This record gives sequence, structure tokens and C-alpha cells, in this order.
Amino acid sequence: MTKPALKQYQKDYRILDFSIFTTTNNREIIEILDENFLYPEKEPETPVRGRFRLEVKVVNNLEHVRSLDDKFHYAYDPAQDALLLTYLDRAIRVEISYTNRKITAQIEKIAFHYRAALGNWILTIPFAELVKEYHYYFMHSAALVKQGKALLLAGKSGKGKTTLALSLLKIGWHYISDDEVYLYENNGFQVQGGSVKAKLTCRTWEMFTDILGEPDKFRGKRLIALDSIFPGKIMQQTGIAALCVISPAQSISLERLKPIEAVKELFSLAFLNAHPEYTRENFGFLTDFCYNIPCYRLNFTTDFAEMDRRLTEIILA
Amino acid sequence: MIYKRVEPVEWRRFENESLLLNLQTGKYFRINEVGSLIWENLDGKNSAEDIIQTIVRHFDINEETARQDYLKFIEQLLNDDLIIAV
Repeated sequence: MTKPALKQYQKDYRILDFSIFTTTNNREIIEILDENFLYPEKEPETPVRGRFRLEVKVVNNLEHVRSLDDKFHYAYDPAQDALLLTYLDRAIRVEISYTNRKITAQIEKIAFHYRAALGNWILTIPFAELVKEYHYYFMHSAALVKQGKALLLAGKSGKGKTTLALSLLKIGWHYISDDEVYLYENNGFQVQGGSVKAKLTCRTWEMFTDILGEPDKFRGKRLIALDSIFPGKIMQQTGIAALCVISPAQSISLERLKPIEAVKELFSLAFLNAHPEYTRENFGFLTDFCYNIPCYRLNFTTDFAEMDRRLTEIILA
Repeated sequence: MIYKRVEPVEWRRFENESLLLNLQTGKYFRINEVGSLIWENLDGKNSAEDIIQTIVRHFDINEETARQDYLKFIEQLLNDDLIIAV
């Protein structure tokens, strides 16, 4: 007797100008990706620059995972021209095939506890790898816009990207993203994003109760739709005027970084650096970027009027 | 001994300094002006004496100091698998 085919659920996601056709044997995966997905729906007939496939298989073999942190491992397999990523002690395994433009993920059901991070692990990070072919480079950074010019606020999680992004948005800046952007070169360096959601911890939320209301206590991060709170303030893309590597501090300081210092600061925020050829291109792109775009180290405070003044100065310089 | 840079290393000169990136490990190294000059001359053709004399001429320092700088830097590069002997 032949087994019946696994029931397939499917959805076509659009990130920037690309399509990721997703199939899975588990309906909840689509719900999770929908929750985590940062970008607005696009019309089906919108042209795309490239198409990728994502296949997600959910299995139920494990009752627990040994490591509960969210560190992950990755390794490039030259024989397969594929990047292998594992999370949660291999409860999540993702293979990115550059040749086939395909992401294959196997997820143990137990990993659904990490619901808020799943979208990043199986969609965002692999997508960022695949679009390198199109010379789009991911950066862990917020992007805000004033007078048509973008300021990138780069930093690891917990450094204040969302806090500073929402604060500037409140006082008149436009918003491209609070956490992830794609950079590319086209008559200068451009940033593209257009996410309509911000990812907030409970602590960050509590700083914005005037616009978000009081939160119930929660762990991890929650996504907040910004397009309804700040209508007309979300932008898709623009040219980059400056970049700041940010940290919260007791007093404001703004120090211009030498290009070599900026490359070192940004290298780990920008790319996975696994595929040797893409690593070479990443490095070239980043060094050109740091030569051409003024980069600063910014220690910021909650004096947002002063932050506005200082940051406006550097993007209009 | 003559050394040369290994293949999977990319580097960029930034005015007086350089950044080396090992493409296989993703590990990067920042090197100063003397190191940059040595690195650029590790082409598998220049001998230690050639490079030491280049350092002496370029930085106007004595030969002993140049030799110490050269040997110390070569040892670091070998430890990090960035060069091989030819």
C-alpha cells in the first residue's frame, strides 16, 4: 500500500523585489512566517528580480533540545555549493543551495517554542544569503530618513536600534526599518527595506506607551505594526548619507570612524561569511561602503531632541 | 626563506594600514604600516633580505630594527596560516 502524499501548504512571500515560494507539511509554519514577516503584501503581478524556493518539513522526533540558547552554527559545503545552518542543537537544520536557489529546512516540533525567531532562522537569514547573487547585502541595522537621506543605525541586538528608530520616527523622521536592511550600489549606496513592523522587547515597549499603550508582560520580542501608527512615514528605499554604530550611554558622543575601523565594526553585523566567493564580494562591498559613506560611533541618550539635532547635522553635512 | 601569501586571503589597504581577511575562516586581521609593506612584498619572489632592505629604505630605520619587525610579523602570519614557505 502506498502512503498518501504529505499534505502541502504553500504561500508566495515577497521580500524586496524577490519571491520566495514556500511549501510545508505543517500549516502552523505558514502562520508563524506570517506573524514574523515584516514586509507588506505585494500585488501578485508585481515584477520580481529573482525567485527562490523554501521547503519546510516539520518532524516530531525530539522531546527536548539540549541547548536552549539561540546560537547557531554554519558551514559551507563546496561539494554541494550549499550552506548548512543548525540551530537549537540541530533541532532546526537549514540547507541553502546556491545552485538551486532553494532553502530546505527541517524543524523538530519542539522548536516551535522559539516561534518568534523561526522566521529569522528559516526565511530571513537564508534569503539574505541568496540575494548576494544580486549584489544585495544584508546589514543588521535600522534605517531612518530625513530630507530624503538615510541614516543607518547599526548595532547588535540590545544596542538600542529600535529605541532610537522609534524615537526619531516620533519626531518627524521617516522609517525604513528598525532591525534589518539590504544595501546595494546604484549611483551611490542605497538602502532598501520597507518593513511595516518593528520588533520590540517589553522594556522597549514601555518607553513608548504614549503611542503603543501599556503592554502586558511578555518575554522575547513582539512585532508591532507601524504603518497604522505612523501613516505615510514608512519608506521603501533611498540613498545613504551616513552610518552610526550605536550604543546607549549616559552622555552623547559622536566620533568619526576611520574606514578601517568602520569595516571592523560592521563586518560581523553585515554578513555570514561562509561561501568564500561571496565573502570576497562582501568584503569588497563593505570596504567601498566605508570609504564612501561617513561612519561614526554614536553613544546616545534619551535626549532625543539633541539626538535629532546631531544626527540631522551629519546626514546633511 | 621565501614566503608567499596563501590564496584564500583577501586584503585591502586603508591609507597606512591594511585589513586581511581569511576567506575560509572569516577571521580578519588589522595590520599596521610596516606590516602592510611586508605583506605586500610576500609574493613568493622577494627574499627576507629583499623585504628587510625595503623596510629600511621606506621607513628610514636601521637594519636590526627592520629585521626584528620582519621576523616577528612573519611568525604571526605563519601562526595564522596566512602565508606559506615556497
